[in-house]
Amino acid sequence: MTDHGVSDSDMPNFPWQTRPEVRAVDALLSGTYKPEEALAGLRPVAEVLVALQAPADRREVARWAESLIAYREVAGMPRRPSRSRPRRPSRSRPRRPRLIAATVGARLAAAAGVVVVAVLGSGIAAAYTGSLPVALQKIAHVTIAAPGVRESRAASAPKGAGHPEGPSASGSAAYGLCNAYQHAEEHGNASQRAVAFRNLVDAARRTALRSSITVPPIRPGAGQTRPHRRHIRHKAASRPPRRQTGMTAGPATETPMASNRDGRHDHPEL
Amino acid sequence: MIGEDFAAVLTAAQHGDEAAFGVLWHDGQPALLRYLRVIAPDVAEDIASETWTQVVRGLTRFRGNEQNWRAWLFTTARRRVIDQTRQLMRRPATSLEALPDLVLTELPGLRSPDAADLALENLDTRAAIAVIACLPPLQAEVIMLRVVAGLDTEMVARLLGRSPGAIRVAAHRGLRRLAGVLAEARVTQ
Repeated sequence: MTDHGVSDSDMPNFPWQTRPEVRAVDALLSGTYKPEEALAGLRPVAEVLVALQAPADRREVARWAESLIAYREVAGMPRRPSRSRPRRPSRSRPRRPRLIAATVGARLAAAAGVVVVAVLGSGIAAAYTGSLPVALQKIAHVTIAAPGVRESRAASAPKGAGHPEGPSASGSAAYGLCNAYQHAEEHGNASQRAVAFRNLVDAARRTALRSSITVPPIRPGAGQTRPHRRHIRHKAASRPPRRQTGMTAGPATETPMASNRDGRHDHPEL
Repeated sequence: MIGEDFAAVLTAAQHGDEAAFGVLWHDGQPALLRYLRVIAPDVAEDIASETWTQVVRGLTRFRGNEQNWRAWLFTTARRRVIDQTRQLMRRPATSLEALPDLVLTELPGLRSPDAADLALENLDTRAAIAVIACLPPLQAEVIMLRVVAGLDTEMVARLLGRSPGAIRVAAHRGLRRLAGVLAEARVTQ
């Protein structure tokens, strides 16, 4: 007879002849039987089974690192420091945000640099082509020697009736304008300090000598219209009196210098 | 076998303790690899790695004692072997040599006849595996699961989808056959 779930072909029909042999085989299979204790016919079998249960050799555990990676990465285990072996620094996860931040930061910095260069470059190009707004063009003219404001542009620029272009000399900018004017009067502006300008002045002197007309020495910036004398006067009181130059040439202008159509300065002293 | 500490080791491994997982791995990997070298020798290493990857994925959900753990480990490995065999058999251009030994062992005479002699000359683990691989597939697999995996008859029966009686008979017949092969090898030496 067979039990439930056991077919007739599964009917226990052990090849071993005796009951002790059957028990010995069961013991071998459960690993509780030593080869030296085995029956004579079972000893070689017991030796094979013991060899099957030998301790692992190096090759059998060679893929431990691979499984450890799977344990760390695939399963996404919560990290807990190991007690028995040193913990390796885990690199993949903490590094990722840093890498992303570094990449994004570098790209942003590069983009910002490109924008700054583009803006500055286009601004400089606009200044040298004279296409900036009049006020900005004047600043560029003074700072980076860009061409001055053309007359047509200056004329087309909106002006109040009878009022000069630029900041109002009678407004809050008066103090700064006066200082700038005074500085230009004492030291000359950039153009007046230029070698070409000095050569021109020397040539004018020689011409004046030749025509026996006494020309007093020219001080750069002298002889120009002085707006806001009152403000200058209170500064001049603390300084030694200025020598009179006798310069009378040229019409008075609203600004220390006026530009011609080519962007060059017309110097009223000459 | 880990023994009494198994529950604590398993709990620690389920909470991310790498050392505990190392204990589980180093206890199970040699037996797993030896079992796979009998039923699928050509792909044993790869299937062992895939098995551990799959086991790791389900590790936190596992509940059971050490017998259940080993049964799960070897069941996972066996399913991977079956999947691999099916994939190879579906390919129309697959040659006979490309099939794993799980299929080839159905054909008599394809195993090395010198395995038993090798086992007698140098009875190390590899030789013992070679001798077991000479047996019919079911007998060889039952012996490996009983002896190497350490599973009892009921567990092996469930794993292989057979009755416990059939497993018991297969094991006894396998050992009897093994004894005969070894005796024959000694006589011919």
